[in-house]
Amino acid sequence: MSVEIDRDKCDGCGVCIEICPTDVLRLDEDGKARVKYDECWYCGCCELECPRKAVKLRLPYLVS
Amino acid sequence: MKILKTDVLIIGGGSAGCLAAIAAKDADPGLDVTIFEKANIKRSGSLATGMDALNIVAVPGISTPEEYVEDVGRNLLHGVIDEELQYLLAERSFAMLKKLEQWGIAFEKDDEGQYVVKDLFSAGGKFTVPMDGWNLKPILAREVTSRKIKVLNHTMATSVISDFKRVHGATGLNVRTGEFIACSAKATVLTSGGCSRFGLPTSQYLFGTFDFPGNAGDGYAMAYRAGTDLAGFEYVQYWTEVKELNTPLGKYYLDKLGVKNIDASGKEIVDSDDPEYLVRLLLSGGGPVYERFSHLPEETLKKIEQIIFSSERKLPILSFFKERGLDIRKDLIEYDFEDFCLCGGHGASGVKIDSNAMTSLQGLYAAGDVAYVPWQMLTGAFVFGDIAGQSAANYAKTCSGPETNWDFVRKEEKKVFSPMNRSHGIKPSIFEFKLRRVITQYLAPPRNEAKLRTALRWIKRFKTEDINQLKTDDWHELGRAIEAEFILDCAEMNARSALERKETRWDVHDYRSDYPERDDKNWLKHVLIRIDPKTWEMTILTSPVKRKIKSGV
Repeated sequence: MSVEIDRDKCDGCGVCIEICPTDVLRLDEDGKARVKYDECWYCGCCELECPRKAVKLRLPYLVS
Repeated sequence: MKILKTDVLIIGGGSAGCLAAIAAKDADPGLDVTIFEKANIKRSGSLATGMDALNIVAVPGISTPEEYVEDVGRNLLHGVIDEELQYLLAERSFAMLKKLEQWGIAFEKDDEGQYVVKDLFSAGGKFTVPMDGWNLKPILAREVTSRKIKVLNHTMATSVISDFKRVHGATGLNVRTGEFIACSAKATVLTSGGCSRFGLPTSQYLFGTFDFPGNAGDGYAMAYRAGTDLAGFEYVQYWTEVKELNTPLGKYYLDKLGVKNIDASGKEIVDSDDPEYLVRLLLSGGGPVYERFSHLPEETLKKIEQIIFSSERKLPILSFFKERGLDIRKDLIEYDFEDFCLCGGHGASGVKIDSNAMTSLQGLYAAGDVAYVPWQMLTGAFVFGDIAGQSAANYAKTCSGPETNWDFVRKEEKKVFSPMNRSHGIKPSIFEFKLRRVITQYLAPPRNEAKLRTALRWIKRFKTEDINQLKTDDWHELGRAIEAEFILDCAEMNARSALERKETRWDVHDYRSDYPERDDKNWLKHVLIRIDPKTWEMTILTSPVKRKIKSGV
């Protein structure tokens, strides 16, 4: 997966969901952020903006 | 339906859009200024994660606008240039740097306090000023919000409201809530970027593009349907990038530090700065092509790492090297032609504008990657965004209205929601793949008449059959369906313009295998696109280049 979200650190504040340039993130049933749409650009804005450092961009390949 | 009225409507809150909104509000704080932004202006557009340099600045005492016009005309545009616009860009570039500095952007200076100015990538001449621009977008967003400009985030424009003479605003869709918006405006500014989702990346991943994939040619298609002139669509942005990372990684600067380009047999490529050589090699099956660093001294390697890991899009670059375990001390880095797109910033496709950033339609302005100021880069987005905002404000102050064209709005609303109302059909992602597969196969240079005509046959079929069968299940996906139709219009603009230009002017960017030579006698001119308002057919025209200064092209 392109974006890894540490479920212990994520408190569901929604900052990453709000700013994602391709708008691919949503909260899941546990109230944690997840990639809902397979349209990540690997820009890393979510990692840059996360106030709890719960997001990590991972780019092994350009597919997720 | 949400009904809005505003004085100045900005479509797209990226680099150019933020500057346009700020300039319009500063020109007259009494004006109502509204931004439609597909994502969130804090991190949106091509500048989402920031930028490492302001590429085009004529720093007094270092370089001049005349030199810039000459360099860009000769080295990048090969003579097809409207010098007035390029001159204006360079002339206003230093004042723009100063404005950005006031807003808190730090530009690199030497020990004596002078700006560090580097060569402009592939155009020569000293014009590029490195900057600490990682927070450029949040800073622009801060300047916008502090001016009480209305920002509609998660709102994409679906059409420009036009009667083919004058523009009266735009319709929009909130891609989170599905709310349809009719926004009447006295003046409208298009700043919605280029068409990044064009050729399929070699990875086949629809969003694995070099440029920001949220830009799907929205502005090109909307402007075309509204009746403006567009130009430069035969030129595709196409260059070598790191395989599956889809960024050039500052190749131009790395080569200058002694990095070697080598071919599949490990042999050094001597003419690696000749784009035609690399094209021939890669397209004839002579690839892969690699960059080799291992022969360089540790000091240089450290410098290179510093450049790579602090360049534009540094987060994916860091992750790519880490996840793949790449070390430039021992590993080769593979390059290829990864994807191609249409863009005014690093290419030459766009809506025709004049020196006031006005299009051929009254009340419609354009700036940034969507505008026809070839190779304008980030400086162009800022300078022409600024000009467009001022011009739009001046126009809004003098005219009445805005009027709402209800007939237009209702028709558009019905069309926009049709993919949500079908019981079955084609998913937008499936259609987009089919379309971009055809684009890649028949529109990627080198191309010829046979390929271009095949592309047009497919495009016609897509327009009459597939596009009317799209089926979507949520608002986000509906946005992608609307974008797919924008891409389709861009494909036709590219194919028809390429068919018109019977020469090869820009190497890999427009290579015609049936017309492989540059032909100055017949083709030192622009290829224009315009819709025929009676038949809705695409028409092609040409116009001469306009000289302002005596340039060597």
